[in-house]
Amino acid sequence: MTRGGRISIAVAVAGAVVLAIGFVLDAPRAAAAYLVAYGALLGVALGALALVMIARVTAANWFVALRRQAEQITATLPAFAVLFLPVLLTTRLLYVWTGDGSRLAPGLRDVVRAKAAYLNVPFFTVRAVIYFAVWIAVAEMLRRASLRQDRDPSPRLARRMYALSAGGLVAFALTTSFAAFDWFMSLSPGWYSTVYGVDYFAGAMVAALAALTVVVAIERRSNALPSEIGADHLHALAKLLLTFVLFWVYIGFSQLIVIWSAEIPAERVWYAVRMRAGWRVLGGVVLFGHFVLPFLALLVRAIKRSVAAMSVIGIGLLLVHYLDMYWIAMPDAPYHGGWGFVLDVAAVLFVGGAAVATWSMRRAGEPSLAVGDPRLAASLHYSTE
Amino acid sequence: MRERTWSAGAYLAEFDSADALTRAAHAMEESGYSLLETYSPVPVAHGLRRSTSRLPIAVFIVGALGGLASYLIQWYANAYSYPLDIGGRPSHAVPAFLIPTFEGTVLSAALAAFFGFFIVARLPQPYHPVFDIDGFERATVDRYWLAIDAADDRSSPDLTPRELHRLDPLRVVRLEGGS
Repeated sequence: MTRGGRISIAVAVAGAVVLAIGFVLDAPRAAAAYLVAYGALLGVALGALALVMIARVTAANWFVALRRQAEQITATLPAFAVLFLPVLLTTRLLYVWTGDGSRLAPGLRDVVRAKAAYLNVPFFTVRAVIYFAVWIAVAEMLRRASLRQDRDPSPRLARRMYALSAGGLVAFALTTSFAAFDWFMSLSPGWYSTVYGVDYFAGAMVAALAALTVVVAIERRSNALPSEIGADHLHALAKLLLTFVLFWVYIGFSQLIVIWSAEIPAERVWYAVRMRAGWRVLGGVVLFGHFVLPFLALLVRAIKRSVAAMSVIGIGLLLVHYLDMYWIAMPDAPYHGGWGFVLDVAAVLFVGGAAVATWSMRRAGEPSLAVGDPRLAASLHYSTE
Repeated sequence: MRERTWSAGAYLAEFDSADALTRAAHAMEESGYSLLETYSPVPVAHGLRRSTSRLPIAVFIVGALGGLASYLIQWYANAYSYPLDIGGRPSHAVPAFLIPTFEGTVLSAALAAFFGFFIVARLPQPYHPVFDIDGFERATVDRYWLAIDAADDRSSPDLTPRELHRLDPLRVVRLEGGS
């Protein structure tokens, strides 16, 4: 176990202790803090999975040299399946649709009753099992085939991974979308937005690319990567990051403009809550940090090619990704400020520490490059010129 | 009126391979020349040192101005000059204004890039001094040319032809400038 792995376990334990104390004092608030941290960090692993599959299907040469790092991020998905248990055990605290309806306003009660066939705890649990089964199966099969290819560079393996990714992307789109509906959108069961799943995916892709940038920067600093992986690969990564920063704001704005134009009370309530008081400020911070700043910075060629600058942007985007999740989910969760923020931090430390420890354990001993991939040489000599 | 190409004249050397051209271009850059131009029938990788274009900055500025203008037009028409009550929406409707603002930004930036390229590349240019050289048209078939602007700080009528000859070209041509 590496030093980083041991530190992350210590961080996770510290977070878990604080969160457990918080749960005793105020269970709903602790559950809400946990759900938000979980949603933000799960996005990193899911985005990495999508990235691996997209690169497979498009046969992207530049990505081959960075693929192992992305695959290692998806190796945390089994840990996220275990980490989902606290959410499952606190559904009654988090989701108003779990009760008999006595907690709901009369108008909402009818709406929730009409959705009872979908929104009930047993079916909710079954769906979660299906989501994780799909994600873990696809991620593990792709990872195992990629590791096998290190020793056995046969074209058969490459073809199988290509087909698996094509089918996997369809399954991924459906499961991720429905997971976002189930776990976050159902916090306000009377409200719906069809683009909600895409919105979660857009944030997840930004977070995954940011995390991958940070990992590549760290490995370059410790000389774990060959010297060919440099400014050109970072440049390609940064261009994709810019694309998804734009995609994120495009999807977010699409949702806003449709609801704003229609101005139907049942739809506008979601934004009405988020435009009030502190949520409005947080929304501004997210818009600025998730779009305006990275958009302007990533236009500059020199920034896209600088390891130091891209590390700063990567870490910054990961933080803002969490704030984005907070703004999306928390206003409808059992929330209060004050010492509740301590629980938010503890939840991030717990889930983040556990994920990083899993990542660090599972990648130990693996080659940091996909050495068996026939396109690796072309990938190492990739140039954006 | 923009400056004519090679108004001070130019020195050209003809080569019979891409390798020879690349080597010559690098050698001349090494010795301090910067106003170089190459002509080749095939793409030559990393022929010359990268020079940064100012076009992206112009595109950014024009795009930003186009976005600003699009927003102001809507604000003037809908919120200032002739406000209409449309379904109770505010007349200064920021979300609705953002869509044409985005379109205006993209349109202005694209037009700036399109026309800016013509200006930067000095196009259209029906006549170019190289056409005065007999046999230059083989630059589109099997010959490789390196040109040095006589306005280059390092250019001199005695030294530059000698330096070009040292690179073992098929021939060296001097184009006169003026008139």
